[in-house]
Amino acid sequence: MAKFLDLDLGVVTFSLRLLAALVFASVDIFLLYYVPTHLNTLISEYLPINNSSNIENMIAGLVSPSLPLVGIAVSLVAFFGILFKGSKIYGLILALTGILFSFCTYLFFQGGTMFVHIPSGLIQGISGSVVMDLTILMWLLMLPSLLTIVKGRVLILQAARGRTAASQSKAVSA
Amino acid sequence: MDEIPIINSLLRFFPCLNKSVLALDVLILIALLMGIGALGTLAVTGVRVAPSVRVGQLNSYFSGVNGSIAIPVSIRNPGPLSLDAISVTALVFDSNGSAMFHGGGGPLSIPPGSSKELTIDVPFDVANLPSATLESLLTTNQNFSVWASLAGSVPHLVGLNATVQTTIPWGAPLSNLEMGLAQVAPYNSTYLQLAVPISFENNNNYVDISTDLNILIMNDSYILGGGTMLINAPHGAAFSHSIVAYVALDSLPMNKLLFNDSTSLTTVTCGSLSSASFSTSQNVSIGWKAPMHGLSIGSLVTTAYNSTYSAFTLPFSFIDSSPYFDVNATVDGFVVGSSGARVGSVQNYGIHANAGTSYTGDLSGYIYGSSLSQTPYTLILLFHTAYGTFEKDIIVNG
Repeated sequence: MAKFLDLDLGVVTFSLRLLAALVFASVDIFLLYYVPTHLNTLISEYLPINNSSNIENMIAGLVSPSLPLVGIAVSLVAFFGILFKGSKIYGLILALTGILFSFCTYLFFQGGTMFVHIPSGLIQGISGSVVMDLTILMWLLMLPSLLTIVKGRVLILQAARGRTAASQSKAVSA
Repeated sequence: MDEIPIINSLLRFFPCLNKSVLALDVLILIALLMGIGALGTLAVTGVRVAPSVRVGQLNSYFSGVNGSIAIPVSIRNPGPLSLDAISVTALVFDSNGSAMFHGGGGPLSIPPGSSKELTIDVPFDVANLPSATLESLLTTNQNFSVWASLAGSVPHLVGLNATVQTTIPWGAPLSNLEMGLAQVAPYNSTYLQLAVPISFENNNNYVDISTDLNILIMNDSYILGGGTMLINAPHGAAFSHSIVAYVALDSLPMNKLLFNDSTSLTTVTCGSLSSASFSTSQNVSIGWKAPMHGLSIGSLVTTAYNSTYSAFTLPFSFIDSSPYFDVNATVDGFVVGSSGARVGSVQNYGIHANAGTSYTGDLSGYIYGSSLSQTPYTLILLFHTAYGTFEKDIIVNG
């Protein structure tokens, strides 16, 4: 029997949770840290040789430098979220996960207005830029994260109410 | 957590969220599906529309230098979302960065499953261009900067605005415009005929030159004469021809032309293409042969004449190198001493020289005996011709 905070987990349950947490955190690290930091390497073999550097530079400009760091933070909280599900700090972890995911989405969409610079070497003699207003789509994709924050808050309040009720019943029995 | 305004708003709007974790889970799931669905639908639209965009053959229509360039773009929308407000704006700048032409196409809406054609039309209207820009456009090969903006949207989801800059080469329709040595021939008793060789290359890919080209012959700011010729130079062709201009003899600077073989005048070439007029100016040399070329004066020989005057003789010669003009003139004049005072006179003398021959003669006159020591003398010779009287000052030693 493993005891975490207020959780009493059987070995099998704990092992399964740990495994799930590791898998989920690994997927998060891959998607939110490894892919952004190794984007050029990952796409370079699919790019035409003569234009690869221009395309790589263009795509690199799409990724916010803060995204990998936030990605690591998301992986950490996701890991602990699975591990501590049902505990008294689960609401806090869930809210934190929602906040970090929202921030991740915000960074991914560059605040809703994505700017792509077209370098002059990409298409012969042409340079330029593309500005995409994706604000509505960004909010739509942020909505699950925002609702997760709400859920975290509700769980925090429920845990607080539970603690208050427990202390009141102890006082009454005493 | 209570400090996050958007969360508070959500909770105020949906108070049940405070109580039901299950309802929240359902909402999260619905929001997730909506987000992924919107993203997926958008991606499918983008992926399916992009390869169906076809840029057609560039069409150009030019009349003179006015015209337009049209690029048809065919867009098919096989995606699930409609495309709205698709428009293109294009601006063309000259090499100095001044905007010359602007055009575009759209706006266009393309519902799912339909195709539409967007024609990007850039009219080249040169009528309102500054004359310096137009002259540069006509005579200088250059690169135009083109700025184009593409706008469009997937309603309620994405707004798109792309801008591109590029350069397109512009070949000058009157490239290497040159005027050669003007050949002179008499036209009648009062006019000269100047044949001004003019050459240029029409380096433009679109503009055919077909216009009346006017030529003005000028001396300083005075118009001496001119001529007109219809020129035709299709795009890519070279043009080389002589334009004939006529100049009144009495308008020419004969004091120079009488004695000097070649002279330079300003030639202004003017033309108009469509509604636009243009002009360029160059100094051109006139292939002129002077009727009194190489006028030389010999030594002044004085002899006693009376108590007041001494007589003098003065040999002179010239070559009438003009193939057309005989010299029929009289010459007289004055003798000015070194003090600057008039000390004698030159007797009237008739000169008759045929075109292409040499002429020698002897001028004669009188000098005050008291002024014989005021050497060197300046002879102010006045040549009286049918075209006017021309002065030539010559210094001679006594």
